[in-house]
Amino acid sequence: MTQLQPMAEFPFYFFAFLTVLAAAGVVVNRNAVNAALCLLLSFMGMAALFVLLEAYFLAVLQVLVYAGAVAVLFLFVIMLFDVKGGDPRKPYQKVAAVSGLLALALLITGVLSLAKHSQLTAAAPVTTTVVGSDLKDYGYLLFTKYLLPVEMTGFLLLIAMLGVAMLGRKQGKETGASIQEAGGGRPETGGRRLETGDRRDSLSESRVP
Amino acid sequence: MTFILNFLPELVLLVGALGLFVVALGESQQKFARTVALLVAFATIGAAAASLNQHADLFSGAYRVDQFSQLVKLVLAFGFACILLLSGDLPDIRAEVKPEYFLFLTLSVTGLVMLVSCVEIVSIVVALELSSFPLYLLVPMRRERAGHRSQMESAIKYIMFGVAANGIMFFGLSYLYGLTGTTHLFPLASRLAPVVHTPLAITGLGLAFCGLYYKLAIFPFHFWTPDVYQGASNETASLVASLPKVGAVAVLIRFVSLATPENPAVATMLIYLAVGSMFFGNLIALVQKDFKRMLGFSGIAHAGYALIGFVALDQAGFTAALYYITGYLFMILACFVVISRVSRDGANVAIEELAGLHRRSPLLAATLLVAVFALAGVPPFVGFMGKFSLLTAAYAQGHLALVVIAVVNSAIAVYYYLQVVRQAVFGESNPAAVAEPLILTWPTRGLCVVLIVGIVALGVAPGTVIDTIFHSLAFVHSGPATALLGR
Repeated sequence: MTQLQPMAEFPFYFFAFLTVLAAAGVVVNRNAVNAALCLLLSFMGMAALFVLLEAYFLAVLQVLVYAGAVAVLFLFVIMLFDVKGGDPRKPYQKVAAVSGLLALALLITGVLSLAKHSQLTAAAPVTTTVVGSDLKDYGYLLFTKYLLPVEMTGFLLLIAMLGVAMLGRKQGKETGASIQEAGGGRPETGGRRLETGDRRDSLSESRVP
Repeated sequence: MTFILNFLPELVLLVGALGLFVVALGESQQKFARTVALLVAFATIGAAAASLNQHADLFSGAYRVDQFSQLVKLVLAFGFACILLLSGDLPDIRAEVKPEYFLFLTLSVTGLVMLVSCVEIVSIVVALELSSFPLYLLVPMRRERAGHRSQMESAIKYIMFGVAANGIMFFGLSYLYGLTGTTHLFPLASRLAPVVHTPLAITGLGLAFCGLYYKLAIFPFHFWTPDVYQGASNETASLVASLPKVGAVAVLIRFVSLATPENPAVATMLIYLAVGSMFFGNLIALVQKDFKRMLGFSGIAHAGYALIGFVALDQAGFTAALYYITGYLFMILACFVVISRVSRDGANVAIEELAGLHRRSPLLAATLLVAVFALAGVPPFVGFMGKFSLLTAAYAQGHLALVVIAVVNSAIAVYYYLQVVRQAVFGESNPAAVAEPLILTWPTRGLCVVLIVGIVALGVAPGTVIDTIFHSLAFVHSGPATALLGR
């Protein structure tokens, strides 16, 4: 394990901005394919940041697992669902404009107050040992110091797997007929079931205040 | 051998969860699954009681078994058994997923039980997720029927808010790690002490609390609460409303004790959140018609009360907060027993539907009255003693304005609690069909009696409980035992 070197500044800022911008692109993009590609770009930027931190093993994992498997899986799913473009952009509502302005004002106030006090550098950064560079060290840590979280993650994965199986299963017999009529069982229209369903009982309408 | 004893409640729950997994694989074995879950719950109570006085550091210091954690585990196990008893045959859960319901319920409690012992950030994060994921899945398990699909909407709201709050929390935790270079809470506390006044440390702490505020439903993180209470089935809502709050308070104690008492920024932040929660919850609860939704808003207000204890940032304040949330567990579970028995076929209960309850079932009416009076803070019950100890702790640290605001809020809350009482006792149920008597099963009767006794006993004789909690919180830095009920 080597001590962490101070990062080169320019590459760090470059990849950090790339990651954040790509992540913002995921949120802003209306087109699902573009959003998934932005996600891929964001993952790659993160991998580059890991390289700068000399955590080469983590960087490889990031590319293999997230960029290679997760993002590509998203693309496959989008392809299978055959999502057409994005929804047309609705005109901004007054509430959205006002709350956006409020958030902007809050951000500006925060930045100004930060610039005025600017004590962010007061605490010295702590140097820590690099964890993700060497596979052997990494595995050793996982099964000694971080044994408990690793074991708990196993249960977490069990829950996620069971949950997906449960949610993906067709609805029971008692309501099966009505849902079949609405086309709920088939993937093509599965995502739109909530929209076509009876909205009278919707929470947003029955809310009192 | 000592390891097994130290880790006994968790082992019982984990083995029980795996057993339920096997049961759920078969053809819908609903009755059997419920029996297994009940056995696990009572075994967990026994295990938590057996390991009550254990002290150990497990998993290379990531897991601390001490009096505090074991006490909270006992409370959680008790709440788990109560929820299983009150949920009965799950009238409003889809028939084919009923065994899975018990499995997810057990796993969520497992996550909470592990959460209160974790003293290492990575473990805390994973345990928090372990307790949240099953809850996200329990909400959409409600049956779909004509004109009722809101469970999916509330499930999506719940998971979106949960993921966002957890993301903010991880961001704050990464700041704390960057400042101190350790993920273990105790070294982290000592290394954070010299720099705790810097904006970076305060930002980190503030962001790190967010995930717990979400669990507690504190004011700006509360938006999911009423919708989830209303959209989830009665049994799920009783779980969401009770146990995660106890776990969140326990972890919040571990986190807030990182901030030293003379840290005005953290105290100010907590004051604003407490005041916002109390006013928001109480004022909006005034106009609610649905009983569960009203309890949701009142829950926001009660989370605000519990936060008053944290404002003091000392041992007395934390004691009061934990005592209050334990009492809240009894009160809210008593309310939900009434809801799930009064509701027909698992539907939501409007406050008007409580009319004539004292004639339909005197025991349920008594449970409701005790619970609601306790929530309102009427003297002999635990709600009053809890608020009293919270206000004493805050007043001892000189937060007079906060005490006054809390008292004003209690007065506001009395109105909507008394409305429930008015319906249950004086309300006339006009259609004869609704007025038929409710026959309670023996377990339900026992549960009602236990909850009533708990609410009264915790309120009349709080000394032992408060003393035990106070001593279990010895790991909190503060020196001399400051004023709490003259102790």
